[in-house]
Amino acid sequence: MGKFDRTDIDIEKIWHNPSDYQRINRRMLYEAREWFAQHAEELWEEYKGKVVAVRKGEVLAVGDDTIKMKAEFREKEPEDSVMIMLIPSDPIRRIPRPIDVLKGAS
Amino acid sequence: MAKEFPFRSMRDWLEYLDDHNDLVRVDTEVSTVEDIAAFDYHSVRTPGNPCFLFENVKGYPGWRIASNVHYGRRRQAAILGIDDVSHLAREVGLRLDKRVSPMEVSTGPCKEVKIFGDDIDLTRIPFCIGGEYEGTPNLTAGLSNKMDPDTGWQNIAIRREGIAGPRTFSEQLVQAQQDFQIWAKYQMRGEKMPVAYAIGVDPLSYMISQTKMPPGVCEYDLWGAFTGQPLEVVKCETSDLLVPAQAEIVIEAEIDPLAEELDGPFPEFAGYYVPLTWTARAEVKCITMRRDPIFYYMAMGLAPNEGLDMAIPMQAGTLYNVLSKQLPGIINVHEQAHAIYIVQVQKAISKTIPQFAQLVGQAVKVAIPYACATLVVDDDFGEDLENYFELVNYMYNHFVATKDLVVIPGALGSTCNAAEFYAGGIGRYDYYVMDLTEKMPPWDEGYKRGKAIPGKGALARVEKELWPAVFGSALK
Repeated sequence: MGKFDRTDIDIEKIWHNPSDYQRINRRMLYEAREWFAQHAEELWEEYKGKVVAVRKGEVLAVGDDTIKMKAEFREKEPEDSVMIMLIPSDPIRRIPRPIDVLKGAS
Repeated sequence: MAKEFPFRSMRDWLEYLDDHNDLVRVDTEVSTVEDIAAFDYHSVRTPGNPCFLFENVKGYPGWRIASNVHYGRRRQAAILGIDDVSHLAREVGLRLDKRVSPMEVSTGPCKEVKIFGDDIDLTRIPFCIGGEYEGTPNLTAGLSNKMDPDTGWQNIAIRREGIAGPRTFSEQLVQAQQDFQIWAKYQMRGEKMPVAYAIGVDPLSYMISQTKMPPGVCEYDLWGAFTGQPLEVVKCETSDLLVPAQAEIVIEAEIDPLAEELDGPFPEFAGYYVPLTWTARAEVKCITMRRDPIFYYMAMGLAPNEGLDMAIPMQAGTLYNVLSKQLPGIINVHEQAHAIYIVQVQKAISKTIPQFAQLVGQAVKVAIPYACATLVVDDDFGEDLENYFELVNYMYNHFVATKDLVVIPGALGSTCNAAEFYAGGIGRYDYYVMDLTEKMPPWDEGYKRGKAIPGKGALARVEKELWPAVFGSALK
């Protein structure tokens, strides 16, 4: 047994009995992210250069200051349950894929 | 029994640090949202640079998170088994050819728990947010393992993977890196690329992942270059990829040849955020881990930070290894900031071979394709290539831009350099070489004048006699 081995921790039990934070807050955050990715182009068109607070399926708030918006949501929402994202002013960039380069060449 | 080099797991290394009073165990509750990153930010700007094991993580009962344990040359020398801390890069470079292939074992601690199918859920792992503009967390300390489908060569690197959903990662694969070239092969085949992210591996595996080996050389072979023994690896559940058997967590995934995922923003070790980007999408197929796993968070963002600091001796060591085979008179190498290299050469050589600094600079660019700049200095710089004041002195006294600067416009960039947008777009940068060596006559005026410091006799007398008399202890 090493000094940092812990027999009192069983990740399988923890995994299948997640805390409310993992089960609710983090899941809401990742779902917000997935929804954001699915609607990224239209959100960029509408909110470029702005800070948006996103929950799955809706934009909760729009502003100019990430820190201020995070502070506001920390007051009224569970931590980590809302994605707050600065949308770039420039179009969302795309790293060229090898297959795109080949298509362009053909 | 006290843990000593070589350290076979992250928890062996934690034990060594703890035994040497060099690990701070934090039982105060901390959040994964910026708290741990803020601890690291302050640590690297504090004498002693404490490293941490967080044992009370908000929302993640039972989980522990280690961080900052690879920061600093003293710790890195202990990880590498090298005594000469002041010449770490050179010592690394001298070892890189003594490779030993890893040894596959049937199982290991990273297989104690296996999670498949609907049970996969990345919300259950305490991924951290490191910067205020990050929308969702990133994996900053995963060894990303990929295999060439033609040759079976396995490439290992640390990438930033965005957590894009409960079973989805994004991963930026950029053209100057070898794993992009592997990805290209899968795209041409129209096949999914298996990938495995190993988290919480032994400290030497983290460090060797930062070398730049030629295609065909697996970074795991370098574990034996430092230890004389093979690294024990175990096969993944869903692919033929091999990962360190002692890893805390392994996440196995597949990268689709066509599907895209939104990545970023995330703090990169170049100092700024990498902005929102469409890039590769990885679907998680399996998670294996220890029964009591320790997560690892590696701080990125504005330097100094652990990610860059750990890479410095390994990338500089790679360069020393390559350059010393190609050119005479290479003394030492240092990475001053991300992708900016200082190469020290013998004055006797640089003053004899015209355009020698340019030769050095071009060899650097071949060895590390995303290099931004190379600064060439000579013996007179002294042994400490991290001496910022001496560097500025050289740039002031030994450099005339119209004569001593070589620029290669539109060369490959790293994609995380914010200046690339001026240079032609993502992945393009004007590589430059600064010749800071003593010039051939008549450009050696500064050397004729002499360095403006007290004489050797006075320095020695103060060091050996007067300093101890005044302070009561030797000058350190």
